[in-house]
Amino acid sequence: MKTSNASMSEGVEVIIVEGEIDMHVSPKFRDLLLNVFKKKAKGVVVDLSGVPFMDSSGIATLVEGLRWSKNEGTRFVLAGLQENVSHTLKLSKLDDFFEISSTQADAISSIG
Amino acid sequence: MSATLRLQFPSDPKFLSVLRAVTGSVAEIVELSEKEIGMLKLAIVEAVTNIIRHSLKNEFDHTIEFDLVLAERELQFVLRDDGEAADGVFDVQPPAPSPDQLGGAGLCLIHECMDKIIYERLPNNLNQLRLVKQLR
Repeated sequence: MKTSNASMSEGVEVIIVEGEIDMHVSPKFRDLLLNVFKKKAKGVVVDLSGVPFMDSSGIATLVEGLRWSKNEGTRFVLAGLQENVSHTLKLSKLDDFFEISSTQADAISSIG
Repeated sequence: MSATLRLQFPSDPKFLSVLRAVTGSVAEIVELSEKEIGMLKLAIVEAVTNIIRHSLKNEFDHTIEFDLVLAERELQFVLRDDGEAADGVFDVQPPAPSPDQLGGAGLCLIHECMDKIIYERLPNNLNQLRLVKQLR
């Protein structure tokens, strides 16, 4: 899994994740997400367009992000979900709890 | 067609990607859809993650045995480990998780993805988990 983080001028932090997310890599994903939430941005976007697979450990990390976003008053938006990941979120019955945008650009503008 | 693939691997999460690759390749042989292949990969990863976390208490130096049995009308994944017994754990699908109550999310996903889940404690004190997907 590869990750990167960019601070956008709109006060939005964007995390780009590439690769499969499972128990092996989700701690690294969690650490990055936590560090980004500490920046107290207006919004955090997680671009998952490069993620072909995510298991419940990845979902648990996203749910932690949801909690942090509520605690910090930060918008939290997932972007670019591949069909497989979108289906996993639906199967978990947790998809309705997240804000989801088709693309990173849509997610940023929805916060701006 | 009937065939069995047998694999032994360490209980280290870094090998989950290998299981996904093997599962995906066999699922392609029986011409499952991308969605079905994704569900099988998810089920096997959740099952092994459950074994590592709960049966083996996050000890990464155990050996897990994995049989992939391809039969006429079904695909079976059989997992064996030498960890703590898991009697009753797989019998019923737990309630759907929520952001406040995430426990059992992995188990829920296994139930959503597979047609049958059969757990046995074998006489040699191994756990055996059999996940079955009917083929149409």
